Amino acid sequence: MNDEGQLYTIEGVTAGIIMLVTAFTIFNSGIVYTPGDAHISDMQIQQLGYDALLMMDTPGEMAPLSASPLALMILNKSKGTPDNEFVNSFPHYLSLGTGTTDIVDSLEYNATIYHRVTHGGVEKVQSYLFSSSPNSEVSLLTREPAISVTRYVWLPRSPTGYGASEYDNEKQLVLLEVLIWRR
Amino acid sequence: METLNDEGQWIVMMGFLVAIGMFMLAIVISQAPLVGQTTAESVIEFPKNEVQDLRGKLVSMTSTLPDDTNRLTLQKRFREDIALLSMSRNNAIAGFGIDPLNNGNYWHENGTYKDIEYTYHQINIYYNNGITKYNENLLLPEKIQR
Repeated sequence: MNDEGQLYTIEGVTAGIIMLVTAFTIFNSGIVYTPGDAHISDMQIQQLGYDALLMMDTPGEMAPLSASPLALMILNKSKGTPDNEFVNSFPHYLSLGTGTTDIVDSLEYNATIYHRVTHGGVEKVQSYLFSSSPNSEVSLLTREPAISVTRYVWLPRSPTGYGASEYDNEKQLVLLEVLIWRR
Repeated sequence: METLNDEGQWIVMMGFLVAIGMFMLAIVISQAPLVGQTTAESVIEFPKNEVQDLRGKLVSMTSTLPDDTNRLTLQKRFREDIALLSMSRNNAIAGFGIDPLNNGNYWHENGTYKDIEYTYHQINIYYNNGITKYNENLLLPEKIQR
């Protein structure tokens, strides 16, 4: 076998590969992904929020359509008074035992109730602020984009303090929407 | 022209192979954020939790229907609450029907299907948020009292 000129061959192949690498780098440099904007932590926060709401919305007794702890929290917050149950239990569930404390210890939330009002024959959606974390207003300045999680909650009646035109006082489903973000 | 010094060709080639190997590994690593992005976006986009929530609520509701004296009111409230609130907050068309053989809007005593032990009530759940469409025909068994 004629083994002359091997170094020339390697040099040629090297030059070809360097050109390929250059082309590859140029065409890939248009898209730069960093783990931060890959929505991975968003997905984790979303699932964490849904799971926390699911746990809180599990009734303590076996009978279907009995009021869950979450429903009782909604019922106990009458019009004009601040919520003092959800604000304790929801962050507690969010930070329960995954070990990823850096993420969950920095979570803030804002919860809104949306409910259907049929008074006077006109259907409309009304909403009110249900609960928010103590530092949520301050952290709005530096927050990251919020994640929305929702859950339907079965209420046997309306919370106290609302008039007939504000809240249907009957068995109903309300939608609890919680925005969660990292401060 | 001076002769090319062709000593050490193996060393040059091996060094070259290692360099190519490192480049390939770097490409693999650089794909990791991309994979995480597409996976996370698919998970966020897919309304698994919304559908499970609706499904759980409807199963709970239909379990209470046999003893309920005012079934139509309960079903109507559920259907209209779900339709309006899902449309306004989750951007989804959602609803349900019970016992399609009987117009799908009330709990029929004899159910949709029956065997010697159970009456089966069919619940049709549908959910569509424009990206994901989900339809389920759920058969809820009710023990026949003897």
